[in-house]
Amino acid sequence: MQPHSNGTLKAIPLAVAEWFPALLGLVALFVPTYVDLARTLWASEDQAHGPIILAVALFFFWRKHREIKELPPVSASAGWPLFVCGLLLYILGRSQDILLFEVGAQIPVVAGLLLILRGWAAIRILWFPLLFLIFMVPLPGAVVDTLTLPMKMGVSWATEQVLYSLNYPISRSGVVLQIGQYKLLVADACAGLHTLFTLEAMGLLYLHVMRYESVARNALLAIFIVPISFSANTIRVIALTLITYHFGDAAGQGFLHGFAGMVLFITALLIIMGVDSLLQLGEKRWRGQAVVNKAQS
Amino acid sequence: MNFPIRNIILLILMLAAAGMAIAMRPTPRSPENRPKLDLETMIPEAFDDWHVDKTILPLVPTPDLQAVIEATYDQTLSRTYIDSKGQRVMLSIAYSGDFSDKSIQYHRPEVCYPAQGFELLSKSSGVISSAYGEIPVTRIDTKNNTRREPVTYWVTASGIRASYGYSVRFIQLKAGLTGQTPDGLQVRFSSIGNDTSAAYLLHENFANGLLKSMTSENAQKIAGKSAE
Repeated sequence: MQPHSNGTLKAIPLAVAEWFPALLGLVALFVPTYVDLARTLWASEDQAHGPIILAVALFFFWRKHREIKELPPVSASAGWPLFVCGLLLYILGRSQDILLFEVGAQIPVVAGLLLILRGWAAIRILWFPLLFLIFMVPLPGAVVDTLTLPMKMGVSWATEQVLYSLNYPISRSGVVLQIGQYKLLVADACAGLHTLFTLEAMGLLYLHVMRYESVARNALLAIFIVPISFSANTIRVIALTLITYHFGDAAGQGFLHGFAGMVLFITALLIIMGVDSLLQLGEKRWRGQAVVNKAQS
Repeated sequence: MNFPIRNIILLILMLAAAGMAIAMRPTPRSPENRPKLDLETMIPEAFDDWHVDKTILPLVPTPDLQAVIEATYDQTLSRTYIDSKGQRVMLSIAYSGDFSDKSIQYHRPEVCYPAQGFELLSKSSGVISSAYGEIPVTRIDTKNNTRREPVTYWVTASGIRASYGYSVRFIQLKAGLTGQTPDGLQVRFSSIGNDTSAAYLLHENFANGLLKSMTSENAQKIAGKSAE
């Protein structure tokens, strides 16, 4: 370790003294939260994206840590109230088993700490990982309830329509598909609500990394993710239905079931990037035309 | 403020929050300590013109739902009653001494019925005027191929009449902040037939008859109390 300025040797323990208490506090608050999540929610297929979101956020925080440390130590007045509110949310959430509050509290607590230690400049640098943490919060039960049924119905309907037009002996009652002699129930996981959530998170991450200027393009892509997710999900249900029809129940419910999920996810991501390239092409054409128009006017 | 002291204060606050979060947790009740309802003996097998029809098998839930039901609810009761006119009402009661979040979602008829292939045709809120006060109920109309099954149900948490969603969550929260875990009860009536308004009336009359035929103490447990 070469000291490259006079103050560095002294500065190291200073930086540690400054940040260590805050980091220790964060560990005390949220590591138990992560442990509990790992035991329960993250273990289920639904919420497997949780650790990924956390890892991505931590990565972004780490990338900028030197920059943050070197900011002038100004304190913003909004810091303390935000920090305390975050702690109260955490206490309420963790004691009463409300994950929305317990996990969501990460944002005001960390944001509050940053404001106290480095002011608004730190927030300007770290806004993305802070907001990205929203995706760690499991969807509230009310939202899941309201959206799951219509999504299941939609996917079931689409599957029936496609397979029927391909002359398969398929019929549907609600979310139960009958194909040949097999009866298949389109379960909650097939609705693709959590897949949509994860894809949206990955899409936003992609947009942030690509750093597009155009707001319209970012917004368009974020919106396109919804039909892309729905289509990918429908394709998965169609595929599994066909596997069951041609190869039997055991094939349909076995290894291929989980495999199909992964294939679906990766396909959807690729489609999103493909759509993005199309948007890029469209944008260039549009810009090119604007230049031509200007030149001609 | 001298910043090292400030930072120590931050740490202390965070440690205090972590501690309080654990201290304020309501103590979950072990299965032996949970309150129980002896539904089999509480609910009469015959009253007014109704008696249990032992020839009917209740609708069997899908295996994944069945696994959840067995894991969550402590006591369930499922009976079909028939009267002298041949009308049938299916009664389904589920009681849990510890009303955790998961069980709420899995027992709602709006979730349970579609999961078994039923289509939800309509949903409305209503009130049953009983001898024990006005009971807010939810009425849903369901259909599975040719089988049309209107459903009426109510739910209580900690003995207080509520509806799924924020109402129940609020009761849980209030109880939780005082260190208690609320219990939960769902009472569901359904019948098969195309005339939904007649069906809902049938459910209401059945419910009233049932409550009147029980002892006041038992009826109070089943009917719950209105929220203050």
